[in-house]
Amino acid sequence: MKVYSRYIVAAFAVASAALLASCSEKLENEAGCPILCPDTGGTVQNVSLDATTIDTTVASISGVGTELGLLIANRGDSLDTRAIIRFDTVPGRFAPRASDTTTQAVTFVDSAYLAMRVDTSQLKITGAVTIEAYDVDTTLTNDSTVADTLTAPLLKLFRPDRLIGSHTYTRAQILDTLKYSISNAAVLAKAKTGKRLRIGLRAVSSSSAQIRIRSAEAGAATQLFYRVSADTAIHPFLIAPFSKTPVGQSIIAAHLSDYTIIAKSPAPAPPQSLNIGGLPPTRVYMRFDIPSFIVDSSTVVRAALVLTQIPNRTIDPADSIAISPALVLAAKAVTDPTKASQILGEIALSPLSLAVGDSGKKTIELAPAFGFWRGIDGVSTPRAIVLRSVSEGISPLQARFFSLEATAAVRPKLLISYIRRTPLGLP
Amino acid sequence: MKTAFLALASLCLATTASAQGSLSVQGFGYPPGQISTRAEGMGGGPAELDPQSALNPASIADVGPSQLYFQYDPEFRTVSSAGATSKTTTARFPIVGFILPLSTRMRFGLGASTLVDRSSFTKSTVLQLIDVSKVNVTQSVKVLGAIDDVRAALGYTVSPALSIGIGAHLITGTNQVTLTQRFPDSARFTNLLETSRVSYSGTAFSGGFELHPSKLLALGVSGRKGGTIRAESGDTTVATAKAPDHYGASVEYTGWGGVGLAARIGRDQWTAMRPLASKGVTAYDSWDVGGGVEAEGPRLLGRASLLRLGVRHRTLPFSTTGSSVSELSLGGGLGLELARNRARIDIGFNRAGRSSGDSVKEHAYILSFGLRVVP
Repeated sequence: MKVYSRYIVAAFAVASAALLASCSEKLENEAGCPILCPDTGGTVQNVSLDATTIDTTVASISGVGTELGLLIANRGDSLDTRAIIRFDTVPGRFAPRASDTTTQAVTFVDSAYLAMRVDTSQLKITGAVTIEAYDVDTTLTNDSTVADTLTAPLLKLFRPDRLIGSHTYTRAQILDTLKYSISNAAVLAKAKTGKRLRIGLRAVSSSSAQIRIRSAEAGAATQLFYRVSADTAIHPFLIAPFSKTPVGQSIIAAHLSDYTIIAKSPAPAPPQSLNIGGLPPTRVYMRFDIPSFIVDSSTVVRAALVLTQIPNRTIDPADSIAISPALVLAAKAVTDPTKASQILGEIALSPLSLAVGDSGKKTIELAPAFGFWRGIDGVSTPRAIVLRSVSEGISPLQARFFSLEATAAVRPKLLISYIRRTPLGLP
Repeated sequence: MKTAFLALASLCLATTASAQGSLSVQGFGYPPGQISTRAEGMGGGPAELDPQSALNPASIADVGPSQLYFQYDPEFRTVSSAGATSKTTTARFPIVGFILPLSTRMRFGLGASTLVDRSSFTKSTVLQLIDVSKVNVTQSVKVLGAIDDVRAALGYTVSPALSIGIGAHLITGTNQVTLTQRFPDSARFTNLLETSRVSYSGTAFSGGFELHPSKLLALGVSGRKGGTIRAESGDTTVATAKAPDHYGASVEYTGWGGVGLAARIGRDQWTAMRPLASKGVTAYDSWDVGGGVEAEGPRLLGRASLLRLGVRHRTLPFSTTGSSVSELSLGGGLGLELARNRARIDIGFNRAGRSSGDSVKEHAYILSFGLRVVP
């Protein structure tokens, strides 16, 4: 009987071990499929829809100076852009040492320069380029009703008597940080008179030149350095861009601390095309009419917006532009597509990269948008998207596509693959 | 020992139930049978006479003092088809309950037992045509939940030879289904994720008696009549049907030396639930036949033990292939009284082979741990 007892104790121990092992469930089972695994999910249905009801090119009106970079370009007959950097407060007095309780007037300026952060990945320079700096302070008025961002008056100030700096560089000489010397006398004059120092930068080249410097919005604003004493023990001044105008509108003023003006734009796109990017920047607004059974009662596994590209060979046709789709959140009360295309929601829509000089069908994936559209009323909030350049406002590249008004073969199409929702729960 | 077992059991309580894509978990799921570990070890033979089994309300009448009962049945299943094999581990807690004496002749019992356990997780690859491309989609379906039978029972001892009992049943449970379809290119496709929760509620009534014509012979007969059962999704009734009727009888004979013999036949009318299911599910009214022996075993830890052997055959209630599934179980068990007979541990072990008319084969090792405590 003792032998039997030993067996039983052993069996008891094995059972206890199995008890512990079973605490961690393992339910996954593939062997019974497909015989015992009916296709619960249903079959994918594919449809091609002319679902676009409105498509139009609109101006990007996110605001002058909101760009993440400043474009200084001279591309012959096709493009001329200039950067404006405002230093509206140039100190007229200084305390030589921190312990000083009195200040003295600035009567001496030396070693004045701009420290610019250059996006070297976007440099386009063939041969040498001269960057000229001008005093472009209009000093007309502080009246906020008078715009001091108008391009034409500013362009007139890029004249020899306003020149405060000029330096010529080759491609190799332009590094991440560019120290650009400007006239000490110009800075001293502003410090003495308390006037604004507003600097306009332009590129001059016999061939073609394009330099992008980072802006205050990118967190890397151009800064002004200068010494106010020959004594090197006294620290140099470091001035960040600052705009006093428009008065009382601090947010806009902050954007205007540095911005780009366009002296010459590329040739306009053909009428009725959809244009994304370029200078001045444009976006495309597209509104869709999608059957509600697809949005509300199905799961969209793929939605591809198929556009037919028109080659744009005005500037850098082989260069790529990244187009980012965004959802329009504007309600139907916002009837102006330009305004509606500023009210956007960011969801995980993949950008499309293409060469602006390319042609043919291009696909933008929109499936994640359907998850959002399912949750909102399509009548009160139209189902619309905006296509915009990732480098909006800081790149002259522009992608162009055929619109609704083109022939049927090249119009925008929406290819949707969806699965009708089947009731789950009951076996 | 008792403390150790309770600690192990409490660890396992943290997990949830079990595995579709199996022969046994089609339709509304696998029916553990509502029988105790002791009865499982004897092929279900004494189930209609066993107070821990949730079948015959009369069986609680002759229980002495109050008692608690808890049971844990892990199942280690192997499913084979066309060269592929999957092994799953499923944890079930098929019975829990207590019995209270109301008078010297009357007992009240309240307990919950698993009617059908549908918990499963299947994973398969399907080919989908999207636009002009064929894409392999990984589809997984996870179902968690069961339909349980909560019973309040009264047992009354009419005479030493006769006990009767009645029971009121609440049929309740939920199934939570999660469907996932994963596409290979997340930049182009959006994965599908759908969830659904269906709850079940219904009633049933049961009655039964135990007859002891002699000290050596016992007969237990019970029946449960199903009332309306509803399947609801949110606040919408999706379908209604009847809870399955059950009829069963057990006979036990203890006059063969120290050996007890028991046999049982049961009938479950699962087709009553058919209106709840989709058209692809076939329900079967099943016979459940089994029997076994129980004999005094060697002394363990200074205590007397009971050894059991049994065999059981039954038809499982649901199929999605049109072929009914039969199950043949062979097993045994061990019972050990502890704490001066104030507690008893039962351990059962069964090997269940399941087959139907198609190429899928399945077998499972089902362990059963039952703990009865007299507080």
